[in-house]
Amino acid sequence: MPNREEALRRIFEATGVSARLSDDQKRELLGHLEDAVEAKVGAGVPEMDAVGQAFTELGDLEKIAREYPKALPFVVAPDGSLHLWWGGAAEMGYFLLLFVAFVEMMILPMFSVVYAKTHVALPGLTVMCLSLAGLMRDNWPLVIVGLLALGAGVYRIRRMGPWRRAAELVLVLGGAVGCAAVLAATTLPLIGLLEGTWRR
Amino acid sequence: MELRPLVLAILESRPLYGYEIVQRARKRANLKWEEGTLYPLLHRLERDGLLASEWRKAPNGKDRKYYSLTRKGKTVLAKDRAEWKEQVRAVSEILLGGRHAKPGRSAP
Repeated sequence: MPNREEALRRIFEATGVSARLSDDQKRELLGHLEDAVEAKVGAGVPEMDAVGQAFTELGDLEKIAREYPKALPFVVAPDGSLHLWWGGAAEMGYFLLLFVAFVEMMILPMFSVVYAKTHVALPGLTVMCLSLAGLMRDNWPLVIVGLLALGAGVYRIRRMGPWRRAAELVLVLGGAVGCAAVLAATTLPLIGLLEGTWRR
Repeated sequence: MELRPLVLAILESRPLYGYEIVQRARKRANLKWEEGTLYPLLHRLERDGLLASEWRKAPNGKDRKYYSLTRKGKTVLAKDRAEWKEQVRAVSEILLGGRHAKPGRSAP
């Protein structure tokens, strides 16, 4: 015999609407139904009647599913401010920053050897990224600790309240800008190298 | 009826989860609506930066999504309140014949 929570979940799934809802939305609506049924049963309403009443009071599930805002990664509010609305934004930003750290510490130093041998002129961005790569390699324990601390921060980000959106935005933008920078820093001298070879 | 100001006002005192918001609205103003429509509204308000949310344990020991007002939400609530007062004043002006109209006095 399933418990009340499980029974409500099964009824909810059977409506066919749940497939159009995110896990977060389903969990929230099921929580509401649980609370409503619990209150009614506590007030002496038979369990089956309480379930029926709770679903009726919740309203048309089709309509509710339609009214949820679309899950876009970025939304511009009526006042023109930018908001991030993306469940995994913080995690995505964190993985982008891990990628940046990996390229900086493992890939760029290999390329620096190639660039030194070919005497290709390095753009300012590449020089800057190579300096940063050297600094990160020299202080790798600090980098590891920093990344672990950032990971812990990302894990806690959902509890940050009003600062959560800002933190997500900083992580995603930081990761995206970092990725673009290291990729450009790596490929720009290669393009110069290939152009030189082609001209010759 | 516009639900946004009501939800923002209910959340002004402390963070609450959806079912609690419905109960507060019912208790304080005997308001009844299709309860489920509250949730898309809460998600929209959160998307627009007026609310923040977090899952945490409710007094009954179950995880519930608590919503709280952000600074922007408080500003919007203050604006909504001012607009509402202005609307009430304007309607009173017509129905009661002025702001200082006493009960029982009919408009000219």
